[in-house]
Amino acid sequence: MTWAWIVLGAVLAGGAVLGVALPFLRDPRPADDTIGAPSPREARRLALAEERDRALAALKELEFDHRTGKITDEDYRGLVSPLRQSAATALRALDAEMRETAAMDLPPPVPEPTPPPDEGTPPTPAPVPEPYPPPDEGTPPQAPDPEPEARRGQTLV
Amino acid sequence: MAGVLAVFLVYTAVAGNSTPQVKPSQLARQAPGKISVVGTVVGPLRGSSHSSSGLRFGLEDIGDKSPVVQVVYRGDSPPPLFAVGRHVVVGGTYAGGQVLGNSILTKCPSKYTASAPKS
Amino acid sequence: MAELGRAALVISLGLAAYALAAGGYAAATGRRRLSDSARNALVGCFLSTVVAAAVLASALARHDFSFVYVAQHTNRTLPTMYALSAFWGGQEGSLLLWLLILTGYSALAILVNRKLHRDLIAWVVPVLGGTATFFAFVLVVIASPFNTQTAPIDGDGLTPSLQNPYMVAHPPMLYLGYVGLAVPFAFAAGAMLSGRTDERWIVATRRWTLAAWMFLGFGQLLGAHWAYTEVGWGGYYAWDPVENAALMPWLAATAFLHSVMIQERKGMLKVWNMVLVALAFELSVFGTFLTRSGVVNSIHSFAQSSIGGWFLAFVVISSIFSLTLILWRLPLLKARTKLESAISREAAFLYNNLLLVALCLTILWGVVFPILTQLVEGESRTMGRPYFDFFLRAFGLPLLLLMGIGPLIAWRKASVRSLVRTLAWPIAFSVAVGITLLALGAGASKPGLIAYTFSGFVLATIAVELVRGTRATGSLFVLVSRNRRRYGGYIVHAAVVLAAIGIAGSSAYSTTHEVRLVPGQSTKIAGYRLTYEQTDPIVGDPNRTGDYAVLNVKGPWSGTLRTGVVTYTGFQETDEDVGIKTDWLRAQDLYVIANFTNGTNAVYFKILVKPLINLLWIGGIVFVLGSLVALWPDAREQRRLATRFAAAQA
Repeated sequence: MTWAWIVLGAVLAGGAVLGVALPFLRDPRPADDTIGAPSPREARRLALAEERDRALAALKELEFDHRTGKITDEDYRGLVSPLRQSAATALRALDAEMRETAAMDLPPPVPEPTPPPDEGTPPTPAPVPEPYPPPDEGTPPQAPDPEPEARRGQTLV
Repeated sequence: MAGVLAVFLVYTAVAGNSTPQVKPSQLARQAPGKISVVGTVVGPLRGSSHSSSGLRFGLEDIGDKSPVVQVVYRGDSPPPLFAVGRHVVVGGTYAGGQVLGNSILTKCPSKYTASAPKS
Repeated sequence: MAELGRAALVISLGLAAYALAAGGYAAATGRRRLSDSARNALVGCFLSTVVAAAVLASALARHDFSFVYVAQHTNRTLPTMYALSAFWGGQEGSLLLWLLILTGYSALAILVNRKLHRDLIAWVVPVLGGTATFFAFVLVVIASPFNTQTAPIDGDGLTPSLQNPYMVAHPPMLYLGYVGLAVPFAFAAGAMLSGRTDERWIVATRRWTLAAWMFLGFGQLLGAHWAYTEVGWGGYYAWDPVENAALMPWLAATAFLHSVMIQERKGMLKVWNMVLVALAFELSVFGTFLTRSGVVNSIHSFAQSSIGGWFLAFVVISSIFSLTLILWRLPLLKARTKLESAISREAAFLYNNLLLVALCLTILWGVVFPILTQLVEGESRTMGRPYFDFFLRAFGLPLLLLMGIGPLIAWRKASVRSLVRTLAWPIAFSVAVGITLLALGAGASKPGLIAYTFSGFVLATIAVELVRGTRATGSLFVLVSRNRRRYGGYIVHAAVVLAAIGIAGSSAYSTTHEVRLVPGQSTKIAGYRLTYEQTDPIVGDPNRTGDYAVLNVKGPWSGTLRTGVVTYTGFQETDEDVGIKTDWLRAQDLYVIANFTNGTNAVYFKILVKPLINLLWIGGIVFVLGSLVALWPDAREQRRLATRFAAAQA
């Protein structure tokens, strides 16, 4: 019966060699044989995402601690603004990074079409009377608070 | 902080509770005092640990036929695994060429010995 | 069939070595296909080890005595359950179990994470491969389970003291813990090797560490319970080197589990975490070195073996490797934020780290002391119980206190006033507990009283957290399921407190009494009156002889207690079969050990009353429950992490 085990052993060895060679057999001429190490851009984005998660988690924990009475109202008031600031900063930085990447990844601009041949200068149109100035609407509303942004990712426990 | 801890540890090691642990063959060179001897139990076993004359037996080096050291053990009954031929650790004091033991530790017979090919 | 086993192990060795060499080269040069190939090799190593394990298990089940290992550890009359548990009853088999679990964990860890963390996994593979190579090498060259002989009629059998359910559960549980620590270590090394500064490796290994830590802790408690009920010397922990070998990595892993929380929240303690995870891994391999080499005298006597040298070499090499990595990456690991105040949650975690590591290192010092003095002075000296007990109290009691303060103290900076206000109820409760206990006589042991008071404090803080949280969310279930890690952690803290109370009660407040009785005589201890009635010899059992002493007990509990000494014919082994009565109402154990005399009918009884010991075992169950709660996958957390990585890869 020993030869049966020898055969099994040979099968095992063969399987091992096959498993090891598989990536090369499957893809003998790859377009790209590099390990996808994250580019500096991706690394920066990951760091910013971690920063954002950290800030949001800290805010969430503060809210929870306040709700359960571990932190007094006065302590809460003192602690919440800096945390909200850092959360907002992190979110803005991440957004900026994402937008910058999106802009960089836009397809190349379509070239302007050639201008039509000159059709001569058009006649000067009749002067249009000035419209009555619009009534004073007062000062425009202020820029929206960063707070709603900070709340966006947060789910209240 | 690590420095403080290190100094503390060295201090306790030097001045603290450590007991020399020796083999029976090393006892002759030992000064009298607290001792811990590891060896094989040599018969005959005489007496009882609860009597005033104590439980008397011999101890020799593990794996080596060395001179046998006499042990007089007084105190709690020795653990059940205690028997002639067992490896034990006897704690007590060394005085007058004898070991006056007050604790015995026997070993649990689990087997992590190397498996020798017999064929 | 042994040839198949041997071949499978050789294949495992080859694949592990390939994973190490090719994987390392592929990671360093960034080659994808070679890295995938190395990863496949590690998975293949697991499959090959499974084959080897199956061969051994089958030989054990079939009582194939042509295998030297099977003949040495089993015999024909051994029940199958114990024949199979003999797999880990000896050197070679237990090493095979180690390799099996290691390769199994490795395969799982790299397969689960292969898509998400490609460049990290590229480095994790050679690190795990290196560890597997070592164990496979030892199994192939030094300690093979597949040595053969002409089959004898019957085997040597398994020592009777090992034929109990503990032998089936305790070693595998410990190994699942020991070996599990290799995974977070490999990921940490991988993070440093790949030069990444983010927390992916922590996120990826969080549950692994928790699971390994849970198994290691529970495995130790199983061992303690085994010692208490079966070995029968009246205790459950002897500060034996082999026991310490499991405790030290567990302490380091505890520090690591807590410390990573600070790295996740604040980006601090990065160097600490790398050191802690490496320490936990090195201590687990060092522990197995201590256990197998016979280099230190232990109640678990495993004979002197040359294998120790190899393990020591591996520990030294991997320690140098870890240290070099950490020093090389020190600039990357430096924290951006600094500790703002000595009274803050960050500081509390730092003190936690310091105390746990201090306790771990003092135990390590006590364990290696005989080896060091042998080398330096030529004469080995051992550290006794008092050394270990002293440091357990010196570091353990502050740790207990910190368990209560940590969860309630504020981040960044806490004023003493606000801290006192938050802790008002728990402080009041613990003072009340202390005064009550003092009145009840607990002042007999100062450390015991302190332990009880601190335990009361921590339990009160946990209760306060649960009450406040339930009030805020409306339902305890919702509270726990939304914050699994935090509240699972609180349950584990409660378990530790229960264990602390059990340890304090059974050691500081126990009563011991040794007495010589003839039939009819009685003795009194701690409110019990025990009368020795008669001795019943064992009859009709071909494998065992011996006697059981029958005691009549009257007191807080009344009944009959049997305690005896049993000799296993054919093994020349004598075991205590102690009589234990667990009094749940009074929360104490009555524990009696019998020692028969030759020639007389007098019996020496050692009687112990151990208060609150059962809280230690109950604490063990609660510990597992709490760990499971903390381990439970959280769909919301997974989604959040997925968006984080998606954002990075977008």
